[in-house]
Amino acid sequence: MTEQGVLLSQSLVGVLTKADEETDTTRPTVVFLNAGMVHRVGPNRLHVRLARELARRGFASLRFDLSGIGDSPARIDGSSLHDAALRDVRDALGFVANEHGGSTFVLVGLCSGADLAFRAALADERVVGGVLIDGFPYHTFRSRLHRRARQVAWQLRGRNWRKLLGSNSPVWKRLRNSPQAVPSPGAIRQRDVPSKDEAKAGLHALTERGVRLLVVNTPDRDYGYRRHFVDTFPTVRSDQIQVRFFPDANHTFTLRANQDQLMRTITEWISCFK
Amino acid sequence: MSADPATLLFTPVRAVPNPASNGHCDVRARNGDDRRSARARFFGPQGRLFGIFDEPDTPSDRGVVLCYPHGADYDSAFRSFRILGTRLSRAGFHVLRFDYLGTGDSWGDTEDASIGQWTEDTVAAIHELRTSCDLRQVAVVGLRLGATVAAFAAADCGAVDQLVAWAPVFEGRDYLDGLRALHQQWLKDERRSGRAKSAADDELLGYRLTPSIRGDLESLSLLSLSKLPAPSVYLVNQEPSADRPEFAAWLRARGANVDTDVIDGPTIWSRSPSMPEASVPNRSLQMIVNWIAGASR
Repeated sequence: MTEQGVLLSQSLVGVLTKADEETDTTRPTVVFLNAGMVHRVGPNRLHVRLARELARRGFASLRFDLSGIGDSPARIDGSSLHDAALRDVRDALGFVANEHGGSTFVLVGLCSGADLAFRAALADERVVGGVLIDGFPYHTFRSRLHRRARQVAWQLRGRNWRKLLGSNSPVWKRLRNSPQAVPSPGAIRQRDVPSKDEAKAGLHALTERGVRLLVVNTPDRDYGYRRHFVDTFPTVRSDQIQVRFFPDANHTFTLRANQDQLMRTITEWISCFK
Repeated sequence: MSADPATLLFTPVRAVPNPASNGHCDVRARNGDDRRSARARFFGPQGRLFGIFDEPDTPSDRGVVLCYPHGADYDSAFRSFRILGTRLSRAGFHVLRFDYLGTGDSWGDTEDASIGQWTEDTVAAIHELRTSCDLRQVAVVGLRLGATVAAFAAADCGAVDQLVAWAPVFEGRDYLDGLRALHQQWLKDERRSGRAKSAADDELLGYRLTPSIRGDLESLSLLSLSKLPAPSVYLVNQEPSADRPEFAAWLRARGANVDTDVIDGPTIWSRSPSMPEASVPNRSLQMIVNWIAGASR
């Protein structure tokens, strides 16, 4: 395995990881996208560990910083964050294609990285796969129930029961509110999330194009539960989409056991591209 | 007018394989008006350490090595260190930010890491910056465990002119206890939410705590320094309670010029595991830049 610092396009800092064996250009190159503001090494260095494990299995990968994140300077061309991020990904794929011979790609993203991976996959036909971790942050009826149950449990924790069960209790107030009154989670407000309809249409388009997706969810967000993807997109059925739920994990896979499980899941899934 | 650190525009220069670093490449980027440049490359023994080299606008024979904190602190401090590096380069310094072995983009995993190894890595970084840029003066800035490692490395190599110890870890055991308490609190909250049932004993806030690192930390004491790390030392804390006057007194007794400050601002370490916040302690960063600029004249 070798790694080298690379400069993509005009400004983006990254590290390219290659397997020892001769590069097999029929295998896709894996491209890791920033998880929120975390720089290219990923939360808890997850991208670095994954890149090296994938290299041992013969897959080259690139981890890089989008403009304005980590070591990459912000663009000063006036483009929106949305456009800049898509252009950054396109430039990164172009760099790998031109300089290192990769012609197809698998995008890996967590949180906002999943949103971007989804959009970039739709925009670029060189993308043949995606690992979308805690993407599609849409509420379902069940996710609202889960959320309300957690709120109530939190309210009851260590509080005065008489006060809590009185008529002015915040618990009753919350229960009286309709599910629609629940504010959207912060993640949705802060992330550049595609609309649910856009996501649904996009998933159909990707599966028709033959793109394979690994959808990973954790319960660390208001919307996360085992059947969340199926409940959110009941009409999206395809053998090309694998869904995995990590009931024990938090959003950034803090525990090593969860990190190791995620790495196993991704490395096993990616073997479908051999 | 100088460019804003967040808006430096780089132009690419083709990557050149470094034969001495097992296929690693040295890439160099310059801003659009050719006044500032930066490099991202592997360096050190077998090219195993990853560093970002920020270069000043004008020729300079002064440089600064930045030593990251460790573990979860590294994730949350990264952005502030990038900004600190840019500000120092704008103030006329060559700057090297680097990842210790087994951290960040550098080679190895946690199993390869130890405080002794990171001290050697820091000495290698000081040597790299000094020789590659032909420097007359080198300062080292470290945060938390990075400050302690920087002090030991500076004392080992005897080639550091200024040391900035930002919220240093004075006693490794206290540091470890603090991280364990934070980790346990986080675990408690997670378990209350039905998660984190598979936590192992040998991990802290997302990173493995190997027996080697645990042993190193349990015996680590900044007060056990045997030699003066640098002739000038700046001790920065953000909480008065974190100050250890006996360390400053020890340094002064050995002839060092010591400045101390307690600076208000957001702490960028010891956070609960979540997405690192984007907050930057601007005042602390500027005070550090000003002190180095003043001390290195």
